[in-house]
Amino acid sequence: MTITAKYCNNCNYILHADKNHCASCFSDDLETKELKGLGEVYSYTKIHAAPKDYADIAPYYIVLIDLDEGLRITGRYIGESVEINQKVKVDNVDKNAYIFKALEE
Amino acid sequence: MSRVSVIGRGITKFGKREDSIKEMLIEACRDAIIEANRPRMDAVFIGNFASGSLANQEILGSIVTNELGLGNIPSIKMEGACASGGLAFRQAYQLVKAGEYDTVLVAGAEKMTAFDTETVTKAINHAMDNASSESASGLTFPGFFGVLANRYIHEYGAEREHLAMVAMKNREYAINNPIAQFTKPVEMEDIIHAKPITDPLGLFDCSPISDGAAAVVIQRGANGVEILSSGQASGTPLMQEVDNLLHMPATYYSGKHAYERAGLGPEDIDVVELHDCFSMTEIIAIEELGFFEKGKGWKALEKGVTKHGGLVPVNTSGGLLSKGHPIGATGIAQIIQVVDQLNGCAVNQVDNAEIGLAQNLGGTGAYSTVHLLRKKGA
Repeated sequence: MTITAKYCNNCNYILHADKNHCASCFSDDLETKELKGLGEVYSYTKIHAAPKDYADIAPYYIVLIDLDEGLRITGRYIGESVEINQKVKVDNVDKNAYIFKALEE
Repeated sequence: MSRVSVIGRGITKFGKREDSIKEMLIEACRDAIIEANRPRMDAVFIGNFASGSLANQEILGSIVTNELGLGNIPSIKMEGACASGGLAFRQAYQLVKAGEYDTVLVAGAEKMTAFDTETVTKAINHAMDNASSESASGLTFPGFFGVLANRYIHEYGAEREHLAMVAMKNREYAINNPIAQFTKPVEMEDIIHAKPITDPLGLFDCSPISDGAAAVVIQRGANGVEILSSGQASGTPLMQEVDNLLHMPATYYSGKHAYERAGLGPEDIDVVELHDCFSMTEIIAIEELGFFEKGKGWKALEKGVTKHGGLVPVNTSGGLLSKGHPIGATGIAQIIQVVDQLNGCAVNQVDNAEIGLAQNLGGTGAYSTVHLLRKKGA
């Protein structure tokens, strides 16, 4: 399982996959690359009050992950508990959302 | 450039109301116009976030202008999520200051209680950038501030209790405010053990779903509380793209611009209304607006210096947390509380208040406006 990212061929800036333009140098020469999906939890929350489309899976964890390869990305987390600085890896993609799990040491 | 003053104000009670968005707008606007002695109006600006999806009604500018019989003057509705009111006020102020208009009616309103909470949460999510994997994750608006709060606590040594102290302070102020949504006293234990919303934030840490409207009349000249300056800035609407989650650059830069244009600093401010959409947001805002060092805002709550008798009283209206947060009305309601303070007739009046600050945030730091105001003749 990987995470799709983009790199700017002009300035080598790393970007989220939905970008078609580099805000750093204004180039549109971007290249898709796959990241390993390993990283650390920067922070998290547990959502109890969910919007309509997610009400059936609440409560659920949202995590903000610093990926080892340099991108910060928001995803969901499956597990009993989570903490800041915990090592995680991406486990699957559910309707365009990245789902992370604890990395087994 | 001209001087510009607030010469009339009107506000409805906030909370769950039977009235339509139109009825609430007319009630607030009518009071403001009467207080201003019914001047000839040159334009109408309405701040509103989601009347299309939450009240099945757009074209609020034209509706208000027609209902009030103001003639064929220009009118508009402006949207900037929770900063819609502040943005409308700023545009009106700039046009009067520039000489385009003499007198303008600026109002804000939101009708939010006509639908269930899940539908309202979904509508509020429209204030985030929804074309990314982040929005697909199920992140919500309160979720953003929950993630921020956990990191803030981790980095700066604050505790859950400090968030609760914000909610407690603002509730204590709201008890004296007749238009506030929540006026019942609460205990710290009630706040800390309330229903969880997005950890570590519980029910009392989150502003409620509210109906309400607020309006002011502004006019060229010095015939009221004077608007000294206006600052506005933007920030990133995606959590995963924020450089430093513990900073809110939109709040910082809107404050910086407003201070610079007025030649004032945080030390000159006597009373503040700021955007406490969540308890965490108030702590970030008192830091970004320069009242306290980064990472030390929570200590100000612990010492009680953001209330009467302290350094500067913050959210004497009860804030969004307890006064209520009808989204489009909020920016105007904040201006009204500051104007009342500077006119010496506010709930929770601060003695000898001469300079006030109002800060209105939109989205998860996407927009911010700051206005500085001065007592008439001071």
